[in-house]
Amino acid sequence: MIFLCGIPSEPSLGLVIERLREMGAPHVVFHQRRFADAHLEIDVAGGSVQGTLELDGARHRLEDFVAIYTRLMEWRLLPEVESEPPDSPARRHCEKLHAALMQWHELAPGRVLNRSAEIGVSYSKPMQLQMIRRHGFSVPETLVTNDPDEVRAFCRRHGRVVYKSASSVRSIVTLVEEKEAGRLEAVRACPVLFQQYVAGINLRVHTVGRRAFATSIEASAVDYRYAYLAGEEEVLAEAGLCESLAGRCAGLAAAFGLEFAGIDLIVTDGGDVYCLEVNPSPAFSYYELHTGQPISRAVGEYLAAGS
Amino acid sequence: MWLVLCESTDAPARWAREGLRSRGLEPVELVTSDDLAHARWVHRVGEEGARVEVALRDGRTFRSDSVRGTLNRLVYPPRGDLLLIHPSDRSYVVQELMAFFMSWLCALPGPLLNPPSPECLCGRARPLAEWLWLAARAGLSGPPCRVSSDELPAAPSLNVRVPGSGPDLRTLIVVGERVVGTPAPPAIGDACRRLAALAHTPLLGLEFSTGPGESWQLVGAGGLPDLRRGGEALLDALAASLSDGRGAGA
Repeated sequence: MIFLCGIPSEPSLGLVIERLREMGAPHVVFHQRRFADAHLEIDVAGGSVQGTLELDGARHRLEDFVAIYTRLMEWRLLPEVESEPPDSPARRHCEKLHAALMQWHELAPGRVLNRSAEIGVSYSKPMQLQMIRRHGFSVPETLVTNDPDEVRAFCRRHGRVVYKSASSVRSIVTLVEEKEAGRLEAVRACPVLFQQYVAGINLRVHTVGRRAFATSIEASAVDYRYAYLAGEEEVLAEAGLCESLAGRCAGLAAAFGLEFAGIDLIVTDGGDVYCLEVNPSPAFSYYELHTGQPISRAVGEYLAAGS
Repeated sequence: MWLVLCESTDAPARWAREGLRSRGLEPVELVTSDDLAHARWVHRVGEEGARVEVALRDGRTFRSDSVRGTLNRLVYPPRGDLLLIHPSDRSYVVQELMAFFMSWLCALPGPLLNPPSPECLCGRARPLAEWLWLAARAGLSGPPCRVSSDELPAAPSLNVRVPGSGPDLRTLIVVGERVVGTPAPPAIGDACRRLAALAHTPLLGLEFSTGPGESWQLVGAGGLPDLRRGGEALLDALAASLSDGRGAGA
């Protein structure tokens, strides 16, 4: 049995559910917005993890689940919770249920895409870059500082420089131009991440176990995810990946403990490959729906093979 | 240079610093979370590796290439910096500071006891069930534990203990490859080392109850132990670990 959790209308989760149905793979879906009807008990004894999960009146044994795919959103932002008073029974139940779910995902044997301990490595981009570099990928020169003079020197040295969040909070990658240069004094309040801009073709590589799916993205925008804000369009296409690079990507994800990952690469005109980031909870549907690449199928097969 | 990083109220860290100095580690800089507030930071990551330069308000400076090992007991980034931030941006800034602190700590060369996590700057704040599960994998016995969606989880904490464990507990502290504290059977010491490795927590405090027949039951664990309970042997082990590179964080 496979356990999936999140909001089924979310495209990435929805695609995996669809593939599992096509494959006839037994699975159970926890619809996160229906948390009120869910109940979880976990018994940990001598290294074994057993217990029961009740969903919509049905009772499941935890030991029957061989794989988990989680796309849970932050429970505090669920529409059913946001309007609840701070100590309402519904809010408390939602909190307790999610705490128990997170613990189960850490302790569950079998395949879990992905455990929160592994997701944690994405919390700090500069820390992640250190790990990426140790695993043999080139990384762009990166500066995190609260000293405006250091930023100015960095910009002079590298010419085109971008800035973005250092944490996993999503931000729009932006070039440092005249406007930004004029307010560099603001970095004194908190260290900010600046990075050498690397020109080239964006490659998103999804790894599922040892399999790798590469998508090229052509866009004139610095951050292709937000090309639409400038009225531009990004062009996504399936890309070939040499065996060596595919293996390196799968190896990088494995080194991060990730069974499923979205790796962001830039390939320069000279053929150099830079790794920008490893995403431990990739919203792959954006790439699959543009290119038809069978990523959800690979995820479904990987989960089903857990049995 | 060796660093002892801690909160300003961390008496065991100050005790450890004096003990390290008396064992010949010089200089040992004690840097508190308050010292780090409003510091000047330059942290680089690139083809030449990762480096950090810090200039503290009190005039002290350190660069990563001069650091040989770090006892890290910082819990959160300094809160002082947040006072400069507009309230609507504080949540974002807290996450940015956490991400930055995690990275510069990992950029320090030499042993790092303990490495940071997104939950806490000196390690993971694991719930009791996870410690007991890891302990079983390491070969340690512990009481059964139930997690239920009917019960409010305990607040995340670096040190956890089975409720009602009683006062007469035996304490062991793993420091890299060494185990100090209450004399224990060799098999228990070996299992403690395995648990520290599984938990990626090279400096790990463990508490045991002993029942009839001297059966050792793990009832408490955490990455922020009171170092003083390990006595002189702990200082010896800490000095050795910080000097020889064993116990370096992941």
